[in-house]
Amino acid sequence: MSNSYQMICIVIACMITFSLRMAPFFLPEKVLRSNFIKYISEKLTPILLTLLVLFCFKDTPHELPKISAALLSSGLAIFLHLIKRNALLSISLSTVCYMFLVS
Amino acid sequence: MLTSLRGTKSLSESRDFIKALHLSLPIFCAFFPIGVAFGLVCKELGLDWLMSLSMSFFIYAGSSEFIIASMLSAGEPVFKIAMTTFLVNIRHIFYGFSVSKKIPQKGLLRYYTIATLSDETWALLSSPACENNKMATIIAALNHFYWFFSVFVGVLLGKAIDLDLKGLDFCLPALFIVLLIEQWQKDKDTKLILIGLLCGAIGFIIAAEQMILIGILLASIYLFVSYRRTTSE
Repeated sequence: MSNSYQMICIVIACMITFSLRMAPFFLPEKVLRSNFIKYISEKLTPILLTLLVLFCFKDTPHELPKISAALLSSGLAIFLHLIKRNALLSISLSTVCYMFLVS
Repeated sequence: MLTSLRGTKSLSESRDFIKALHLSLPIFCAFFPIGVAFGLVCKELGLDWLMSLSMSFFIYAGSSEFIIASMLSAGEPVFKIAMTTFLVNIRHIFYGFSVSKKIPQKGLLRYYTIATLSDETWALLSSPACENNKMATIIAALNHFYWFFSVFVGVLLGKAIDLDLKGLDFCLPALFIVLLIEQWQKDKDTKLILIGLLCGAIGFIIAAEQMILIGILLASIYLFVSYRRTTSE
């Protein structure tokens, strides 16, 4: 496990991640401005955000107290944000609630 | 004080900065515990502090860094690490599309903003609260700094930590929930959230580690079919 091996891996991983982030910009402008892309990007955003929420919970242990803590705190975040629309308040209160429930 | 001396241009710039700071503050709360955890995990895996810091600075893609760190310490072949990075981060291909208008049109800042388009930066840039190109770059740089700083703190804390941070990582899903609600309030299209839940659930059942990729593929198929239906009507 030499340092140069690790450095090479990190450089390659960096280049792959950058290429993936760069990829959509290499497509012709016609493609980027098409109705189809507009439709996809508009509709994909809420779906992707939903997937990211689920992704955060994928490692939650399959135990009732842990799952109910995650569900309760998520419910609190949704409730608070629908009522107050204050991002910091919704996030901090629901996180404190979750920390209290899992401790 | 400085802004009043430099006139209106820097006044609007500092206004952009303050807005970006306000907007990205929840990201700091979300990054901090995870970044600290990453710094601690790297030390436990026996990685050099220089490696964990360069990963956080150059790769800057949260979940994949954890996987790369564990593969590095296991001495996995370069090709396998490259393949895994590609699969875990492939969702980033879809991010540029929806925020292309918010990204600076040319120059180094354009490439910097694209290179630092992480999940969280993309989420903020796609929100209507991000008003212009400058704000987009400031948000990207702030988030990049938050992540690097958090990992740095984690590296520093090393084994000395005995704080109970259990559950603090909930702020990440909480952030995504908040952003999702803001998106939803634009057109109240609940069907898309249900589709997301369904695609994610199917992905989770097939392969939990690849649930985002499977979910995106299924959602793309659904969107393709529904687009064809709207144009044929």
